[in-house]
Amino acid sequence: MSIKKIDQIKKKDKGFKIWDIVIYVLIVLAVVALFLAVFLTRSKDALAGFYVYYKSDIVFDYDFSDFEILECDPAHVIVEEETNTSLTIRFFVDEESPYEDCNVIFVDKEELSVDVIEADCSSHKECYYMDPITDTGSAIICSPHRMNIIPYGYGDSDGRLQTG
Amino acid sequence: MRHGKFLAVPVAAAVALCSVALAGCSNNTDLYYYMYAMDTWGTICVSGDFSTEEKEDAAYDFCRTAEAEVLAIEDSISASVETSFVNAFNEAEPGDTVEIDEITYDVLSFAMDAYEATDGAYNPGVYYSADLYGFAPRLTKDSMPYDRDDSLPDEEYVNAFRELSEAFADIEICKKIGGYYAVKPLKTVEVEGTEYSLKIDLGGIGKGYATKVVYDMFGEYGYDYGSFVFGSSSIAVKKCASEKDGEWYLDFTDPRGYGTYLESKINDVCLSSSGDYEQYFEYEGTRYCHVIDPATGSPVQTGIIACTIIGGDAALIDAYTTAIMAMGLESAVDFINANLKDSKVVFVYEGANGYFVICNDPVYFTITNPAYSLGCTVDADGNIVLETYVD
Repeated sequence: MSIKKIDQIKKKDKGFKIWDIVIYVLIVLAVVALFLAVFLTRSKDALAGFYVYYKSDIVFDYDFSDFEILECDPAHVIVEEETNTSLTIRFFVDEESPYEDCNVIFVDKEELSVDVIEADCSSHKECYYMDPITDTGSAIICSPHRMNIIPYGYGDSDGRLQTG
Repeated sequence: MRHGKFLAVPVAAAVALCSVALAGCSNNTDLYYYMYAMDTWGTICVSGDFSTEEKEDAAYDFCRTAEAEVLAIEDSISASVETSFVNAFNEAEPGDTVEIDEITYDVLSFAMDAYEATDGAYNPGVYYSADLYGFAPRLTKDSMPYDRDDSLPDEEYVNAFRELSEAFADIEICKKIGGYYAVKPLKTVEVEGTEYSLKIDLGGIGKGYATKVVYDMFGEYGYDYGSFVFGSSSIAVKKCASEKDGEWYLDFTDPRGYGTYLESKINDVCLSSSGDYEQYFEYEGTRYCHVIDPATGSPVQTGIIACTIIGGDAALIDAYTTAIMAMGLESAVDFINANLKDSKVVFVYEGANGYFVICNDPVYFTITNPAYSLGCTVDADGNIVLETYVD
């Protein structure tokens, strides 16, 4: 075979087949996916449970894995209603006045979330307007009542702080 | 291989991207520790390599020690702790010499410095004025002669307690061999047959002082990354581990809404905020907040509704944010121009024409809420110059 013919054959062989393109695209996609997974995946986990604190004491502890109340301090918390899909509890500062200086906390067992749905703490009622807790990255604070709802594993500021 | 040379390009790119991605994975984690002190929650975040039990234990030891320091400060200076030295001072008779501890002596010294520097706009002697409006910590549930249900306090009490608060300037503190002492001023006022002597509340400077202590401890223990958030009004930050530039994003609570209004970035600094939106009541359309104007003996009505100072001594700036709210617009600008050029200062003024952001570095702060607008410029000497439309 002449050198000319060998050169022609080599040039013909370098054409792309469809599977070549598919493999190259898959490699690029895999690398991009890995990149995005490392840098963009939120480190917050789904809600596994939560605590209600009065000052530095845990007065209520709820575990979503078994939907079980692990702790309930009657001096500060009563269960108002529990169904298959939800739990409503009342937190109060003074056990002698459970319907004053209080917050009503709603637990959605299907959505795995916790929220304050009633409060008489102040004109501002910041706890009432805070978003429900759905992951480990947020908490609900009622400063006037010294109450704090903290999810299990709480703590992810994402490099962001708030003052005021 | 058929496309050997061509294939080398995407493979090399894939290897490079994977290396970059995996380089972002490290042993750095955040460790959170919660405490409750001075009637609020504090959160310590320490970032580092806690991959061994020894390193993790060391980090928790740091956090527990920091908590112990903060609780010790509370035990010394909190007016709502029965055994505190401040309470002992408050319960003492006029003219008495009260033994205090080093912490109380230190904080009182800072308070006196702040009182002088602000010309009395910061005055911890307003305890009775704050109690008159329902904002002071009380040790017991006993009622006071001036308690009322749904009305404003009697003017006679307002004026008497305003006058009494001026006695803060007469407190003497001293350090002798074997101890520290504070002499209670002789000044008293009498209203409706009851005599009142000076009581002080160091809450307006105590959190800042505690924050400064924890901030210093980060350095002493060798932790370069982390933060201490104390009730959100006092914050100390080292570097931020999750940001490439090591800076934290700082959001500022909207004093009239439920979100934020301002943003900046911070690193290795302490800051303090005060505002009229956390503790207040409204009466006939007027807001009465927990920040007392020593000049009137009543809650501030100067139009300054929020103030934040970033940088400087954490105890002093805690006092200054309170003072700035009491100063009023022009005096506050003069004070900042004269004393706080090394700090970043921002406050919100509620004027007839809207909400104005006044700050000594408009480039440093970014307004993120259209309800707020910038109300100043800064001249070549770094002085705030109010815009004419701010009233």
